[in-house]
Amino acid sequence: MSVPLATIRNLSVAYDGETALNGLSFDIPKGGRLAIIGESGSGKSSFARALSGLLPANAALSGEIGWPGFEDRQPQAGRDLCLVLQDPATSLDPVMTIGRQVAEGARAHLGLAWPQAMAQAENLLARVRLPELQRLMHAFPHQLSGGQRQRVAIAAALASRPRLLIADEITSALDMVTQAEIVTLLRDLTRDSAMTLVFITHDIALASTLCDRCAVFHRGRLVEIGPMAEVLARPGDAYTATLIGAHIDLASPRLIEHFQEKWEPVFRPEMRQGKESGGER
Amino acid sequence: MNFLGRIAAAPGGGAGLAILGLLALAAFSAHAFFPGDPLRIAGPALVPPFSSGDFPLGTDRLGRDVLACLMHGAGISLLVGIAAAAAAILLGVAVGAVSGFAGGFIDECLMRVVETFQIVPGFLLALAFASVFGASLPVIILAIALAAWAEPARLTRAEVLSIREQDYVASARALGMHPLEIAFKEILPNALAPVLALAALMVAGAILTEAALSFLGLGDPNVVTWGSMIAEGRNVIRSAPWLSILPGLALMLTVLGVYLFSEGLSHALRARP
Amino acid sequence: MARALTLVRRRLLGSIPVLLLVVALTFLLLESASGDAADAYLLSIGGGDAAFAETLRQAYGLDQSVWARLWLYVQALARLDLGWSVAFNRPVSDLVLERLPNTLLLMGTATALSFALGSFLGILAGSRPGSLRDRLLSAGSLTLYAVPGFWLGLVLVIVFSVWLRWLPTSGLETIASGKHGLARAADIGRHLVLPVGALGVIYTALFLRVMRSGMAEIWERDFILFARSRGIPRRRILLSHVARNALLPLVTVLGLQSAAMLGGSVVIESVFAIPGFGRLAHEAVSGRDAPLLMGVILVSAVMVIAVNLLIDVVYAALDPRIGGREAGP
Repeated sequence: MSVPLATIRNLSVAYDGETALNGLSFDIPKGGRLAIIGESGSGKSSFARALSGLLPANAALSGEIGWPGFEDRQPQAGRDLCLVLQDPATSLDPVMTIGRQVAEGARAHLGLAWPQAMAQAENLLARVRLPELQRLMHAFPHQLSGGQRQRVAIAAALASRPRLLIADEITSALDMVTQAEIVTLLRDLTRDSAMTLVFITHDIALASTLCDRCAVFHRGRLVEIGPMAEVLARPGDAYTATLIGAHIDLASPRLIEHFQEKWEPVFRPEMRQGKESGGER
Repeated sequence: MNFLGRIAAAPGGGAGLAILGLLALAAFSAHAFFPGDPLRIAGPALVPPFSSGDFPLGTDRLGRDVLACLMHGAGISLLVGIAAAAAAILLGVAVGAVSGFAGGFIDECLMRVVETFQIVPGFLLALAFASVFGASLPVIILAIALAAWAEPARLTRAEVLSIREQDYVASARALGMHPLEIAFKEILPNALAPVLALAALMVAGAILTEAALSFLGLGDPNVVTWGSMIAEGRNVIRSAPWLSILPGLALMLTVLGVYLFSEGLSHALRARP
Repeated sequence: MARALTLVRRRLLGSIPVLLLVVALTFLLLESASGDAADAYLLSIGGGDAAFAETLRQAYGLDQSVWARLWLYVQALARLDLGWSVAFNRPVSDLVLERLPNTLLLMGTATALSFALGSFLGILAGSRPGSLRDRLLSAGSLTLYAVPGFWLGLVLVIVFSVWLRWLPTSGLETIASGKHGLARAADIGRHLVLPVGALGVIYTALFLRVMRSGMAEIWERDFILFARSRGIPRRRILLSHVARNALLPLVTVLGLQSAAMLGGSVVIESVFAIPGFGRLAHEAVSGRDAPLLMGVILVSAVMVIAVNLLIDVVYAALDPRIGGREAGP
């Protein structure tokens, strides 16, 4: 294996004395798609925030994260890596147009003036396969569906061309069909570029359709890490086996692939006309 | 830790409690230190403060003891503030609860009335009320309450409406609890918490309104109030400015104490599990 | 623009029953007073016999029942007739129109200045909640917010007019100064400094606190975390996201406070002897002038409705989520 993107050594995080992450050690390889699997409370969100350097003020971090993939300097949030959040209903500014929210990242990191940044934003929105770009640029988040908002968030995250995208449960607030669409989008985006994806989820079935490596967290500890297929076929830990047993009955990944086949060729225009938000949540 | 302790431990809460405690002490000991009517003439006129042992804060232009007036005035301010806020909250909670529970036409009508009281400036209303029924303490208290009850009414209604829809109320209903029992045991106690947090701020508002009313000459002429002291001092503002400044400082300290107490209170309410 | 118009129309229609309630309740309240307008008039001209009082009552229609007179009053209102002031012996509407501009000038200046200063200081305090600067500004604003406005006015007069002799103590302009144009504006400006200061300090403290607490709340939102994760510069997050969103509750408070502000003008105008609308209320009470007081209360209710209407339109412009269905894609 070549130089890893990040090396995590003995990483622990505690909030006001309560341990959330306990002595994690593993590497994140460059360019791959790593799934972090765990239930709520497993510490996976704390890991996402520790990795992106955005832990809240009351968090205490110990151990270290090395970044050989960034020539051993501390990566900058936004320019080198970006964290996309779980709830698309709250992760966009409600009173700023979609165009500006995507453009502000391009402006901050690529040194573009507003008109160029806006043009760049339009390209990014097209890349995440959003339709009716002219209107979308001037729309506000509440006028979009959950899946559309999450696409906008991904476009905004890509604005600075980060080398690491951390997706923290970004599909868990969406319905099955939209989940599959977002997963397909993430797969295509990481296939075309050298971007590394850390895909954090509780859904091992969903992760198995997207990621090549898999790390399983349980109560703040890493219980298992390895290539996806190996972990799925031969879980080395009892907890992982339970997770797989609970989630995969061989039908569900196929079900998702079925949706992908069905929906991928014809992009579904899911712009809603005059409906209240939250319909698909 | 008990509730007062939690307020005292909250930022600002301790200072608020200390200020209010001192004021209450001043109010209760006023009769012990300065028995009799504080409005009687006690000595020579216009003694400056800190110049005479008999009158530590001096006298006004009629020779009344400023310190005695201030201490007696503390009681009036606190009394009016607390009584008016209590009356406004009682009225507001009653109307808001009826409105929230009844719904429909009754709710619609009551909310129009509440809206009416919100768009008429409260101070004008209090002014009109006091002028119609004559300035006496009970009238002043009622006038201020009348000017302030709309907000707790709205808040109570909103709380009742939102709590009504919550799961534990639905389960109480499913268990066959009597609607009145649900209203008094499940809904109202929970609806009252935010109103309680508002209460302290209403006391502060009532104290300021009372002061402004008596400053304009619409206070009870038979008792000494800080507002009337400020108005009285205004006549000699060039020669004896302290006569206006001192009661104003007392007023400001009182209101600040109530604000600090209120911050501590809402902190303690929030921290409650 | 269309949604703003819809909003205005809906609000205007909704305010008619409320205004009628204001009329009825105020009318009945003022009716409960002992003595009527005829007594007040006789008092103001130094007395008169019972027969003259009776003539007056007939002239004013005071011999009819309360409900009949309320009906008459409402009919007159429909013709924009606010009745006759007993104390001034002039139409109430003339007095109101004469006094209102002074109050609007005073309140408008105080509100505009304190809104600008308060939101600016609020941004300073709210840029880093919990910092030393935030704690100092918060404590300072709490203290200033506890200051009674009329007393602050007196203290300002003592310091700046009596001791330093920099500014005039009262009035809105120098009487019979013969000044015109810019000189007159400067004269009015000098007279406005102290009353605007007395009102403005308190509003500034209020706006500062609302802005600051709004920002403290916004900082915790997900979209701020996401903006930070995208590496948006702190300054832009602060101004374009945090402060921009915290502006919404501030505008709401401005509307909610408009009634209280109008009430506050009564005392401030009395302190500074400004011939404004608020002072008119005080004069109506002192002169036992029920029609005038009635008119003042009614007009202030209309003003509060108008201000809130304006606030609604501004809010709708600031918040795309309000009634914006037709604006979306």
